[in-house]
Amino acid sequence: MKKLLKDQLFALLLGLIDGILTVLALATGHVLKHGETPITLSLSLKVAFATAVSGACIYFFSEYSRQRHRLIHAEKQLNLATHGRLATTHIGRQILRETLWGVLISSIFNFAGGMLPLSTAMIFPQAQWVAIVIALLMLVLLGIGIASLVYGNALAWSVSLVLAGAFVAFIGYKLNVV
Amino acid sequence: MGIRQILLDVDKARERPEIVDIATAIESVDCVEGLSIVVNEIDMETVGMEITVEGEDLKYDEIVAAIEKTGAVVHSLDQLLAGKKMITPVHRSR
Repeated sequence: MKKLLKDQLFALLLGLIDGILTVLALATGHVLKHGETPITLSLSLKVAFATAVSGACIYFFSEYSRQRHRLIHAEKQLNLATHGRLATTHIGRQILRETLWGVLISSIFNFAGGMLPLSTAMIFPQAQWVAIVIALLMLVLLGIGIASLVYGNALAWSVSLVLAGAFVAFIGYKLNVV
Repeated sequence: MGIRQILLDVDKARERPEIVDIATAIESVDCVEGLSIVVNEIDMETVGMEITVEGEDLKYDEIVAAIEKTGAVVHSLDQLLAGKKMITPVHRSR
């Protein structure tokens, strides 16, 4: 399991960041403009499910096409005369399998990343803005986590992610999607 | 006449397949009793290997197919030993 998560770190981070940012974009307008209408479980599930499904499709098509393109590149390096030959070998099945695992992991973390802030809004119906704070806090923690993984600057990573989150939240507030 | 030993020049992309996967694929072919894989060239994108396979009655086509199924490419058959007796090749010196 640990190895799978390590191999699928890209999918995990993509899912988590996508889930949090999408929720910020979709829910900020609702929370700040219609605070009197509480976020329900049904709304939370709908938003988290929609982001997870769209994230899964985006991940599958972009990652699988990227991997197939890398196979074409490898074919050129190996001087293979026919294109698409490597895709019919074990490697072709391997990249499809890895991509599907990535889709699963990305979807789970996408759903969790979306559901967690919205759940707090359900717990505190009088202070729904807590959802936005929790989402931004999650981005801070994520920044610290990424920094420790890549031996980077935790402050720089956290601030960058929070700025991205704040920007997306501002757009969501202006557009007032949900 | 049974083929007893073959020496193949094989290339693979750096990332995939793993050398262990290639060895496992060759080993799964009937009549293969042993093999060795020696990496002799590492490029930016590719890895060149010399693969020696030994057995009593090797099926050359099946071995090549097994290697290519993993995603590696057989470039040439560089040496072949066959017959009842194993003969040590004598390399001509000029």
